[in-house]
Parts: sequence; structure tokens; C-alpha cells
Amino acid sequence: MTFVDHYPKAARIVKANLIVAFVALGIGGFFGLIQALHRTDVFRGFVSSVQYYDVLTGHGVLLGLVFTTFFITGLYQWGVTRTLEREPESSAFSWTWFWMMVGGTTMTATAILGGLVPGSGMSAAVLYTFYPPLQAHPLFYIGAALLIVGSWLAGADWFWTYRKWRADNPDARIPLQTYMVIFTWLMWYLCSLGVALEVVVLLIPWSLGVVEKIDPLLPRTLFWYFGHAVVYFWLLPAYFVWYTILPKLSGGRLFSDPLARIVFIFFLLLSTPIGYHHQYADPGITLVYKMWALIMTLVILLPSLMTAFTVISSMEHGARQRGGSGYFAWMGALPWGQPAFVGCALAGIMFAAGGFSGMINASLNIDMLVHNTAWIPGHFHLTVGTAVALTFMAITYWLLPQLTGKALKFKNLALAQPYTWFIGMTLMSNALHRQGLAGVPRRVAEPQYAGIDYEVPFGTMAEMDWQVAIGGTILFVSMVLFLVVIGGTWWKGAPATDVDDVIPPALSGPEHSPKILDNLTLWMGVAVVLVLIAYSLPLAEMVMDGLFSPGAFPAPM
Amino acid sequence: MPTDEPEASTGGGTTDEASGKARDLPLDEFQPYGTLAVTGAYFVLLLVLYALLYFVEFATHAPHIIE
Repeated sequence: MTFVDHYPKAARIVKANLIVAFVALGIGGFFGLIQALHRTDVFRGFVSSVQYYDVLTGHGVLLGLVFTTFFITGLYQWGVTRTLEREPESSAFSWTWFWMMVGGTTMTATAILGGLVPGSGMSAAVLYTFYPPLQAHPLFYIGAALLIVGSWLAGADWFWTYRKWRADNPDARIPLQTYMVIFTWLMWYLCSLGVALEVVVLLIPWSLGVVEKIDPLLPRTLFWYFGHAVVYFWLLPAYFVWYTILPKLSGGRLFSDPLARIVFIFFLLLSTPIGYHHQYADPGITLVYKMWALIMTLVILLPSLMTAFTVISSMEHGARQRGGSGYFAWMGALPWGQPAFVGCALAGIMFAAGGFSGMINASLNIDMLVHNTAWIPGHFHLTVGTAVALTFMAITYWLLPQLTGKALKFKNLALAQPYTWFIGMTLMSNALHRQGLAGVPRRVAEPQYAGIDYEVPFGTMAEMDWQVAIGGTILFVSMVLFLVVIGGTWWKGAPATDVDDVIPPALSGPEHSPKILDNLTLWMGVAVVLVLIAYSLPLAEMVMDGLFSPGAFPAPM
Repeated sequence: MPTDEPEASTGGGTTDEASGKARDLPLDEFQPYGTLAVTGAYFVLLLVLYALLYFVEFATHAPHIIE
């Protein structure tokens, strides 16, 4: 008896979300292969250099927004249901948010793919950040808005379950997994308000022709109000896995439940007020706010370092229970032959490397060295592209038997998959970082210019291009391995007899922490105050610059 | 349905043969020296790489008053 037997309604919702996530992963991953081969000039036969930007948009949106959001809603539905021990309160409501998200995704994807079909009259080559004056077909924006509103309703569904649970358990501490879901979604409500306002108030009327001109700075600022917090919207579910499941996969137990709660509070408080650090090169925002964002960004390193300590110590606990010893040798006692563990552990190692390049991005002065260069995709392919994506793939190996009642198929392929991802990403990401230092721009179909020789710090440009192309190809193969394992398990997996779904309690549990950690109103209130400090004055200034008198809109070009 | 147990335990955890566990290590006996070593090494690496980026890549390529 496992999850699917106890909670069949929730299991169906989780599986539906995962299916959409994996379809998006397959298409978006293929687009990634095209980009890796195209921009390095290894093979340019898939698309033209104009269509490259449709592909780039598809890669960013399908992986950064669709794959992540659907996987997260599936994972969190599983976590809420199993820890509160309740089916969704209303299946009709749950399916409503699911289909709203699917509808929004379909509209957005149609607009993007329309750019690859000559004569379709549709295009959305606005890249993942959809900055004006780049303009997409209205379907792109309307679909994106529906995806976000659907995710809000998903959160409402879980709060509904939580309130019912709370009525039955007035004095109980919130179970850790549900606690993490709640704090992630509080942060998500707060930050996604920015992009919702941007899309609904500014971009949809502009794309429909209701207004002709648009201020380029205000939408950018609203985007980044959301755009850095969305990074934590991706990352916190990976932390959810690393804190609550990875210790068990390592053979041990979570070192500290209270530390995990404090970390999630930190992210609720600090994720949103730091968006300006993506706008260091933007005119129109005073240096004071950029410095404030810099300081807050360095502070937000703290919960990630706390996570490093807690997760590594939990893994060490597992290793020592498995007979490991020594200062470093204990790592050899970890289960390096189990795909779910291997994927999460390698994702964590890659995240440590991404932490370094993130510190460079966050530094107001050094950022100018790498701003808008290939360094940036090099960085976020370590974070969202590996720490998040590889964790999601790896934990699916552990979750799928619980959701389907079937044993994992092709276990050797599943074990090879995280290792190949790690190798592919090592090749691609190190080369992208170094190309960035040489000044190679990001988001360019043909970054080879006549008469310009990049000053390469070490290595050669040809060597780096080949690493990007070969690394991207290995990543694509790794993704195909994942889809084969998942598809094989889903359709051809043998019934599982003994599903591994037990999560042992933390070594130090929630009763070792004050109840104030569970005070949702307090922490949400502090988060709102921090956002007001960071954003109210600059946004007011931008709005007064002409939002309500369209004739005064600053022209984009 | 197995769930997280809300109470902390200083004793043994759930027995799981698949985990290859050789012994139970309670909280009181667990000294995470390995974590100290790994996170300490990572911290040193961060400092070295940051200094490298700042002084070698950034400072040497930044505009200078005195060339």
C-alpha cells in the first residue's frame, strides 16, 4: 500500500501535473540542443538565425516556467496530501486549476511555436524575460497570465486543505513538508503579483493595440520584482526534496527541522526585495536601491549556506550510519549506486558551483564584467538547469512507484542519467562561464563577428565552443534517458510489491523550536514591509512618469 | 500511510534495509566533523575564486586612472 492506494484522487492530480511537466521538458530540452549547436556554429540546419530567437524563447518558457511550475504543483500536491493525510477538498477545484494552467500553457506555446511556422501570423520571439519593446502575439501574454492565476488557485487548494487540517489539529506544529509548501506559496503570491500586473495592465493592452507606446523601464522593473523570486520558486521545491527526502535516501535523517523552517522564512522575507540586482545596468533606478539589493542579496546567501550545512550534515549522518568515517572519506559510504540519491547529490554539488558564480553576479561592480554575457546562462544552468532540474528528475525515480504502484524500470539507465547530466553540464557550463569572461554575449544566434577576436582568459574559443556543443548534446541524451525510464515505468513497469515511501523523523524535531516559526501572518507581514521599503518609491516614480496618461508614455526607442 | 513523525527522536530511526544501514546513530553521538570539513573547504574555495575574479579578471580589465 502506497500513496496511490491511500490517496487515489491526489495521485491522479500529481500524475497529470508531472505528465505536462515532462512533455514541456522534452520539447524545451530539444530546443536547448538546437541552441547549443547553432550558436557555436557546429550545426545550423535546424532553424534560421531569425528563428533561433523563437527557439530560445521556447527553451526558456517551456523549461523555466512550464516544466518547473507543473512539476512543483505536482510535487507539492504530493507533499501536502501525504503530510496532512487528506485528499483534496474538492476534486473539481483541483482539476480547475490544473486545466487553467494547461490552457494557459497551450496558448503561450502556440504563440511561440507559431514563429517557427511561416505564414502563421503569430510570433513570440520575446525571450524568457519578454521585455518591451520586444512584442509578442497577445496569446503569449494571456496564456502566461492564465498559467500564473492557475498556480495561485493551486495554492488556494492547499491552503484550503491546510485550514481543514488545522481545524482538526489546533495545537499541532505544521508538518515540515506542508510548512515548506505554504512558505513557498506565500512568497509566490507576493512576487508573482508583479508579473501579473505587468502582463495584465501593461503588456496585454499594448499587444492588443489598445495603447500604442509603453514605458520600457516599468515592465522591466515589474518583471524583476518577480524575476529573482521566481528563482527561489524553483529552488525551494528542490530544497523541499533535499531537506525532507535526501537525508533518507542517504541512509540517515534530517539533522534539524527548526533550521529548515528558519531557512524558508528567510526566503519568504528576502526573495522579492532584491530584484534590482538584475537591473544593475539599467538607467532610471538610483544606485541607492541597487546597493540595497546588493546587501539583501548577500544576506540571502545565508539561508543557502545554512541549507548547505543542514543537508550535508544529514547526508553525513546517513553515511556514518552506513559505516562511513573520516573527514572526507565518509562520502564514499553514500549510496552512489541509487539514481534518486545520485541525482540529488550531484545537483547539490553543481549548486555549490553556481553559488560562486551567483556571488559574482550579485556584486554590483564585478557584475559589469559578466553582465549579459554567456557567463549568465553558464550560471543559471548550474542552478535552475541542474540544482533544480536534476533534483526534479532524480526524485521522480523515487516518487513514480508511489504514484503509479509500479516498480522503476531500466534502473541502469536511470543510474546513468544523473551522471551523464553532470558530465554534460560540467562541459557546457564551464565553457559558457569562460566565454562570458571573454565577452561573448548571451542570447545571440551568431556570436561570431568579423574583425573581433575575443580575449580568452584561458583555453581557446574553438575549444569552448566544442565543449558547449558536446556538453549540450550529452545533456540532451541524458534527458532522453530520463524520459525513456519514466515512460517505460509508466506504461510497462511491473507492479511494485514493496514501495519505498517511508521518511524517518528529523534528529532534532519541531518541538526544539519556538512556535513563532509557524506564525504565517507575522512572516508574511514582515515580507510585505520589506517589499514596500524596496519598491514603493521607485515604482511610484515610474508610475507618475506617465502610466495614467498614455500620451506621456516615454517612447521605447 | 507512513508520515513524518512530529516528535524528535534521540534514539534509533526507521529501520530500512534498502538504505544499507550498519548502525543507528542518535543525535547525541553524532558529531558532524565531515560537514565542517566539507563546508570549510567550500568556503575557502569561494574566497579564492572570488579573489581571483576580483583581482585578476575584474581589476586588471577595469578602466584605470594610472595606466
